[in-house]
Amino acid sequence: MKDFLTPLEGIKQVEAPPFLLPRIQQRIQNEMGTRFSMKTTYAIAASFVVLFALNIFILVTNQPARVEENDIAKAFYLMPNNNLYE
Amino acid sequence: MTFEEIYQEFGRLVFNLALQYVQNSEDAEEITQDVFVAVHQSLQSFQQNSEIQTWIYRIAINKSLDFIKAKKRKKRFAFITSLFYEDDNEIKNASHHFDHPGILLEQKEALEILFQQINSLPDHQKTALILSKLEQKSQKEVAEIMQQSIKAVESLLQRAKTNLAKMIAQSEGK
Repeated sequence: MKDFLTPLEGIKQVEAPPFLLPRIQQRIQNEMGTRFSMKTTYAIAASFVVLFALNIFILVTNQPARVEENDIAKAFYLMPNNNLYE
Repeated sequence: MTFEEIYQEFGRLVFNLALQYVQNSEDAEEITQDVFVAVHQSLQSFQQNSEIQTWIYRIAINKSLDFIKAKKRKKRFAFITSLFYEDDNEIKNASHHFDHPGILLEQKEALEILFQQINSLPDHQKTALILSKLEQKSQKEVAEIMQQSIKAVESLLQRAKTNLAKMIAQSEGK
């Protein structure tokens, strides 16, 4: 059973290609640049989400205030709308 | 240890290990790049409780296996597209090219066949065989790198040899 694996022993270790390190360093630089732009993208996306959520919050919380305005208008016998002929 | 020092010490080791998985310089170079990019990214979080060589071996094994899987996917995709388009450049590019620089010319043919059979072994068996027979690691070292028990490594090696013997017998028509 050992025989068929014997040829593997003849395989020699070779040197890594020259200029591989500069290529790796270049790739690391490129990937770091990509990661930075991804961070920026996420930050912009997050600020849009916050802005959207704030808008929704203001819309929702402002609704009862309108009812209060109507109540005040009624209390002072004011017209709650602009229809003069009602 | 700086990143450059790590490369100087382990660059050759990673390139040769990748060569045993893919058997051509171009792909081994790409894997080596992947490995050192990953090393650079997680160097800060590297825990000194495991040896740096073992850690690099693990990254190199994972990256080699990932590369092979990605290449197989690409090959399947190229085959499917070749059914619809006449241009078969993609399938040619995705096909396996045997060009191991550590193999002598007179051994090339025999080893190409043997590597074809090794490549068809399950990942764990292939890794155990490569570390033990090509990287000359002891079973204890193989067990540590693969995060398995020595008995599990023994069993993986045994199964790998049995499977290879079966494949060789089949190819010889016994």
